[in-house]
Amino acid sequence: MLTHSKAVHMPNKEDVAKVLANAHRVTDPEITRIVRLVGENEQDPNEPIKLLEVNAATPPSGVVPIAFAPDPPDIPYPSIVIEVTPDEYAQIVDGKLMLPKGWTIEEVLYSSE
Amino acid sequence: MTTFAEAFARQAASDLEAFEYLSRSNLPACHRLHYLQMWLEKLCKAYIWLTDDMEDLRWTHNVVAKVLPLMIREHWRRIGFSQPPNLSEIREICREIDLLHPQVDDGGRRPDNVEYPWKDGRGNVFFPAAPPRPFSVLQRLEKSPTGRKLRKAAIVLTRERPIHVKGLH
Repeated sequence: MLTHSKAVHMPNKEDVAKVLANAHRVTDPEITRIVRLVGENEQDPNEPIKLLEVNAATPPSGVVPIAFAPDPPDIPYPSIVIEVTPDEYAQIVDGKLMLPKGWTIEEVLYSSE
Repeated sequence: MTTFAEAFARQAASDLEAFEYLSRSNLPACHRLHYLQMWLEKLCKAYIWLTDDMEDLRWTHNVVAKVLPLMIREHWRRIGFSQPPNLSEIREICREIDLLHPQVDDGGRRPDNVEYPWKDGRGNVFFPAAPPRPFSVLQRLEKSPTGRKLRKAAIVLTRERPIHVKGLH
């Protein structure tokens, strides 16, 4: 039985999403916006953290979710990145370009504006 | 049971072996570039999160420029790469790799490819084993520092340190 002092500290998804978003923003200066997406099973630790990144340098080829395994201890959850152009992002906001079913925009984690 | 993600990753590893085998041969460059394109396309597809409404992505060819730069960025984040990578150049090289496929031609502006003969704007017909000029992506992958880093990262992601979600689709 784990005592309280030995319990493994699991950072919450919100904080980990911010860590990932910051790492991406620092590495890629072309990113102008990063928003967190959430799905229907967000409380499930196996449900990936989902970031939508706006980048004028990416090809305009729609919504392509790219999935990564967890990277503990800093990133204990799987993660997904979707990179879109500014025009595609506008289409997503307008409902003309669809995200995967059940995924919605939660909060802006970074904006260069 | 093998998932599609695992299957794509394992076939990518086999394509990489073929690419390396052909790189040691004296065959025309188009042959190793054909395997380079197939290797990286399948590697990228091992990382795409497919939902029921996105099955088409499994069979599309134009994915390397969209996916591989983000895979390399994440790989570099995990290994703590000390120097910020030149992602712009990575993206350019990845676009050239997509253009090696005959179905990816930038709206007819880039008919050159590594599989089938093509006709240029003046009506001249060429074929991949004897192109009018060497495939520039080969030079960039082998000679430019960024190209070498890209190739090294892709090999590590294929063989030694895959970071995809193994149970994925």
